[in-house]
Amino acid sequence: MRFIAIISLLIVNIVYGSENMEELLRAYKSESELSKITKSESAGFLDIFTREDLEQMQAKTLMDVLKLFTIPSITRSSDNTSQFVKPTFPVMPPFAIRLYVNDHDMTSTSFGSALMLWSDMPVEYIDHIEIYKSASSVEFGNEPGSVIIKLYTKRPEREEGKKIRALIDQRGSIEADAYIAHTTMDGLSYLFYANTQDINNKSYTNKGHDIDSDLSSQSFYANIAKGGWRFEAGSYRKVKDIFLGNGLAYTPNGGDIETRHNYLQLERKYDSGLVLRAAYDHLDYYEYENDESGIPAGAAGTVQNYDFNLHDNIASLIAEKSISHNGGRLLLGTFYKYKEFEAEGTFDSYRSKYDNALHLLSLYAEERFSFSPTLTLIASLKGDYYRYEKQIESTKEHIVRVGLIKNIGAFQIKGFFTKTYYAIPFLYLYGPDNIPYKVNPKLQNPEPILSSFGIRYKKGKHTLDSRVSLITVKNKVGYKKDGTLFNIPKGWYHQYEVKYEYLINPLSRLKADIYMGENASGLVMSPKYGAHIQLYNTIGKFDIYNQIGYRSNYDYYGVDIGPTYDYTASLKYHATKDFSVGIRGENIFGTGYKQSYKGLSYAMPIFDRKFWINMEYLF
Amino acid sequence: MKKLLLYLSLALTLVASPIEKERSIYQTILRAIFPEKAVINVWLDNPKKYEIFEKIHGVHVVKNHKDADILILYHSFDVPAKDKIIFADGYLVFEHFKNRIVGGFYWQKGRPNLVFVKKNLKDHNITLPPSLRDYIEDDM
Repeated sequence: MRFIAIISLLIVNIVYGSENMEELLRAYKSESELSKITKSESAGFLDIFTREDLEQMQAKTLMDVLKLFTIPSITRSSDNTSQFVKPTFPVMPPFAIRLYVNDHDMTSTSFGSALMLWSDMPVEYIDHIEIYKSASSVEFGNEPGSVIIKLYTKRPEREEGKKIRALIDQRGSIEADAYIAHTTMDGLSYLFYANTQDINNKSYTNKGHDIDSDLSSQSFYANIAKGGWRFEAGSYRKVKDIFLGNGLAYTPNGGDIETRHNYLQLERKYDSGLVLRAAYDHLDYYEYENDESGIPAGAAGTVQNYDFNLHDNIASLIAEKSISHNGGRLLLGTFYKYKEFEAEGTFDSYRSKYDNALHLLSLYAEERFSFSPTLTLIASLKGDYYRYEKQIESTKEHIVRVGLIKNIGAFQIKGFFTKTYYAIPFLYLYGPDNIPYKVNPKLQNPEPILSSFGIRYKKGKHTLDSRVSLITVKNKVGYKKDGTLFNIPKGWYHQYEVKYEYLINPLSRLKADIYMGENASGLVMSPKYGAHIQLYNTIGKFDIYNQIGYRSNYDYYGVDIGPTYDYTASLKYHATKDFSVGIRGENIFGTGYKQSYKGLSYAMPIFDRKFWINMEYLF
Repeated sequence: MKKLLLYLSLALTLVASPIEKERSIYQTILRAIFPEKAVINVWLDNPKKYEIFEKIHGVHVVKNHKDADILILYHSFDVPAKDKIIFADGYLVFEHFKNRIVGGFYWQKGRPNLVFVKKNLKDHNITLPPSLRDYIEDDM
């Protein structure tokens, strides 16, 4: 008996010892991905960019990930801000897409969501990214949105050490960042991160005027934790050239947009399932532009000098309690937010200054009940109470969501029915003198009803995911010629997505997706179809990454834009475990995505052609 | 023969989730440190790791450190038994005891690390199999 045991253990020793500890460690690392702990299948259709994905892609900023979004996909507005489009639609409201860093909602009083400000943020301190679609936010306990982007920062207990990184590109852009992570003997852990970027992009000319889109930014992040306490602080400042600007003929004589967002969050998690959070956010937005052709400024008409400042202050308190019970889990939560907003500007000889504030109280509950190990029901209810300090009528809104997840062998079937709304931010609701925007205080919040259905097939090395969403929207928001927003009683929209993943071997994998959408008007104002292919390989000390993106042709503002292809590739050489050198080419053939703008007779590239070299060292 | 197959099948099912991967890694480590012991007595200071070690064949988790062949430490900075072999399950413990610890398996720099300390292995007359010699470091 003992002999048999020893023999078998020796065989196991040989198998595992030489199964190669390297392979075991790699497999352990892969199985221990933080995304496997943090992801929530019940929150919607989920796409994940793991840490390994981000590292092999050599993703520098959130934009490198946003480029791979399917529905919605990323584009840029004429003033160089990042916007999203759903297939065939022009630009979707930015407040429908929410960005979280860990559990902090990057919110803005002026714009609703602060994603627009953070779209170029560095992701070196981010461990992984989860994207939830057909979501309702109830599970994440915050303001409503149908697409939730959750960034999870690296954890000090896994990082232990320091990292420095430097990057340069062919246009002389530079970026550098560093972080330090440590856990002390008494259990205090911390991660501090700092980044600086100075990015040069290709310059264009329009009617003799320079069209620039350079960017510089500085960011800082701190995460300090002990026991059930966690304190986070984040700061991001970004200055971007105005690109074409908002002038009628796009002939800027200079201009830029400077944004700053600083936030603090204190969180206490109790073993009982109670979570308390208190946060404070401050945002500044400065837009300066000069264009002789005239810049629309609401009731002021068109002006040549446009100088506009926004300041947001947001204080929030959140309490959540998760109660596990037989067969399920009940989440109960409430939050209160005080959102203050101040605007001031000079538009030629016109001056404008106004402010307002919102008290937002929310109550929510979500039950996740498993009838059996293969069948889970999700039911969510959320009530939001908006009380404005000036002029805008107080409103009550609610979200109802029901979902079902059923696993049958290799198949997982998901269905969600969501009745939600998008809160229109101050910028479009309040402005006593209608400068620089013509506002509409009577504007109703859009109320989409989303019916989504998806099937995932996962067997062996193959995963196939298909999703369909049918959306009807009450009080859809449209733009009048003078820039005022108004409600369209009803509209509908369909979107389809198929994703495929193939694990070629433990060191290589293929990801592909194809998507399309159509709207009630039948107009095609942005690409109707799109697709991506990503190939990740590791060969010896080299990581090799290839990415091809496709967007179909469309005709917008009289400009016919043919199909576009973006080829991006990267190669990283790991000289040692701690030192690596990489090169990443973006839009390598210069055939990448394009966008047309009202009044411009040709389309402009959304992304520049770039070749980055980077070096990083861990110690 | 049936028992041999049973042991082998049990051992070979150790591959899947992170817990099972960690179990495989520790099984390899313990077998390498104690190649001739049929049963290895292990003392742990982290109760959360019981489920990993209790299911390793040929390993017995003991409650009293005096009965242990090896102490696997996660957060103890005082060693209860001075003469025992110590292995670190966390970076801080590894750093704290690097002058006497035989090795450690811990997260650092965003990745799992396995390290054996040459001098300390020698002090305990431990010779690792060739498959693990790449993880031996001379100078800590």
